[in-house]
Amino acid sequence: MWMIAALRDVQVSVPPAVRRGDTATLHCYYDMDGESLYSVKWYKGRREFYRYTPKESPPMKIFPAQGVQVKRTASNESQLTLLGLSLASSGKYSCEVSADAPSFHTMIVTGDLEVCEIPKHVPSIHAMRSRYRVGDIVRGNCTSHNSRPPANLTWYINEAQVGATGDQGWE
Amino acid sequence: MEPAQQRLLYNSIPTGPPEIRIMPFRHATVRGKQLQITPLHLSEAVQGTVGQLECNITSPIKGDRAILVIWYKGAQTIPFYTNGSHAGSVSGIPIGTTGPNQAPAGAFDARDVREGSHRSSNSSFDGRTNFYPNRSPAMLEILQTKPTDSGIYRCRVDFHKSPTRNTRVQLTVIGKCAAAALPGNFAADMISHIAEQSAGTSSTTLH
Repeated sequence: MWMIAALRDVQVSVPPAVRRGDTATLHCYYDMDGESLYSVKWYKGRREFYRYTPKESPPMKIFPAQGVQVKRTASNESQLTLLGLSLASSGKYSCEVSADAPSFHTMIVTGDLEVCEIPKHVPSIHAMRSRYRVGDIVRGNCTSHNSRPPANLTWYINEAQVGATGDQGWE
Repeated sequence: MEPAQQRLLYNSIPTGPPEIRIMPFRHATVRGKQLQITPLHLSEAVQGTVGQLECNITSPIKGDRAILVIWYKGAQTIPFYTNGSHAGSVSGIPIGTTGPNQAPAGAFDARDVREGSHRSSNSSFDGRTNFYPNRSPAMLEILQTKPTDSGIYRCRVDFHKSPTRNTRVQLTVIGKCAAAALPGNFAADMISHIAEQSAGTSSTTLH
């Protein structure tokens, strides 16, 4: 059976999670199958911020978008490099590939990018005294700074993990 | 919907024209307030008459112009967001059209247009659609609409200086008998409208 030559197999490769301040390279793969490429566009959400049109001079066009800083020298018709990722860079990134006239066949694929803030220090305990009397209630605050998403904090007493309800007896 | 991941099967360094590359990829996942939808306009046409789909092709930047307008008929509709009360929803129906394959319905190519010349080309991919870029707003017309013309159309406008604008129109083609069953003058107006379209002459409104 004859298949009409047409753009197909568009896929994106987006690193699922990166650290704040990192650089990330997103890839958009496609098979033109003999058709001529008109444009590759990248959207953050609904907003186009990058367009690569090989037949134009210059081929690369960048539009401002929140949290997006493109490294032009490491971007082309199949990859996009983002610098200085911030928490605002998180979002859905879509690659839209269009063949040229006469077909203008188009495919769009989307990937999620999440920018995380990793704590620089271990958690710290505050508001605890070093001595208690038998029968006292011990309370303390455990804090982990600058974490996104929020960190899971676990208490240990003498290196044994404390249950969620804290219903444990200690001697 | 769980994201699907595929193992890396094959990786090649491109040396020539793009070839098939198989790499890990992820499906879009629905997330909280992040929406990836465009506003949805509604249009209705009685079967057999002209369907009209609007698209704003005026650039927000002064001195800029649309260089390419492509109309797509959405191959799939996957609702991203089913809460009908969201501000972006015009009618309360699920909004969000995606689908890797977008079938072009028509294209208006003005990439080579210079001041004073009119070498733009207007393609109708099935012979029944015409695009009128000079109307305000610009309009896609589908002649002799059929029930299968119903669906969500995307108008993509590539500008020279401004980011691409995507707008969507949902066309509903109403069967003639369904239109006649509607109460009040609506049915009569529609019937006379059909008569005008098919006869090409003016007709008297039925009461």
